[in-house]
Amino acid sequence: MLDFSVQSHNKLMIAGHQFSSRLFTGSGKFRNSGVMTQALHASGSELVTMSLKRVDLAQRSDDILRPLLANNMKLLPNTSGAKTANDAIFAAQLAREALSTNWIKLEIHPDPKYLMPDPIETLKAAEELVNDGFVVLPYIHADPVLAKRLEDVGCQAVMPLGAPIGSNKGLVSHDFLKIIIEQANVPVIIDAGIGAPSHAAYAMELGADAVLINTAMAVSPDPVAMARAFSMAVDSGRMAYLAGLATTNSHAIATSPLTAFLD
Amino acid sequence: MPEHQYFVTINNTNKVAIEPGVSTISDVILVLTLELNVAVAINDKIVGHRLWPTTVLAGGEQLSIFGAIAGG
Repeated sequence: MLDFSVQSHNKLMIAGHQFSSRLFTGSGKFRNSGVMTQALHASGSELVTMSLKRVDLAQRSDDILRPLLANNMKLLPNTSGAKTANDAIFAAQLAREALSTNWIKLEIHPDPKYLMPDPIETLKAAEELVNDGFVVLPYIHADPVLAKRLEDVGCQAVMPLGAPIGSNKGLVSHDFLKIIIEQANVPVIIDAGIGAPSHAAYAMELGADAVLINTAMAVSPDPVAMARAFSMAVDSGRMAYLAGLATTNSHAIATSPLTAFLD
Repeated sequence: MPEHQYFVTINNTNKVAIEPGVSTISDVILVLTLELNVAVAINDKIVGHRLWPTTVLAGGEQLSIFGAIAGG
């Protein structure tokens, strides 16, 4: 019999690091670092993404690192802005130096309109980064073949998209996500496009190992409450997945006996 | 000597004068009052933190300094 306590079945391991929460978060688009800190705390998330950029000496930006480190968050720098494998490798090396972590969210999206990840450059960069000792989590289209290829070159997880970044459309790629989840031997983290807690719950019900949420939380009028809602949705979806969902039927199957009264 | 040789350029915009007490990467980071969680590249080659105190700048170098910003 399954133990339905969420905690006992909710440990996720990536590259030897254990996570109690399957809700990963991004630090972008929050009104300020105070709101971000409160929301991420409410989410229970233990991993947060950030970007690297040339420091603007004239206009020092909000210090986002201090509160994240104070909350013991695992940092996952990304290679956002990279248009080629070489850009991404340079960004990863900078991130490793700046943040003292060998974890990298590899994202290469040359096209600014749809931000579709470039599969060829991503595979090339992933292989080089793995060989250079990085823990590579690549952001990819929901492409089952690419997911396997990335696993084969040593990526420690894959991060297929549900829908374009920031689109809030949910899991438009769900049929392909299912195949990726079925075939993967590394954790599958659904990244991008999750716009509502119901989408996150659905991702977890499909058997995703984690989801990454940023926009939907950050741009909510109440990011703290939304963070909590996502946390509950992820737990709920995970619990449902472990419990086992009932199969679907195209006709009715009665839940009460249909014996006629007078028989 | 031309003036630019006594300066390093930071991120293509700012300049820091190389003078007594300001000659290594560590010194420049201190002068700029930056946190240590940044990455530094000289002429696009990354210089690791442990080399900052001993990397002497002659002037004329292009320093790139990167730090974390919010992102998803």
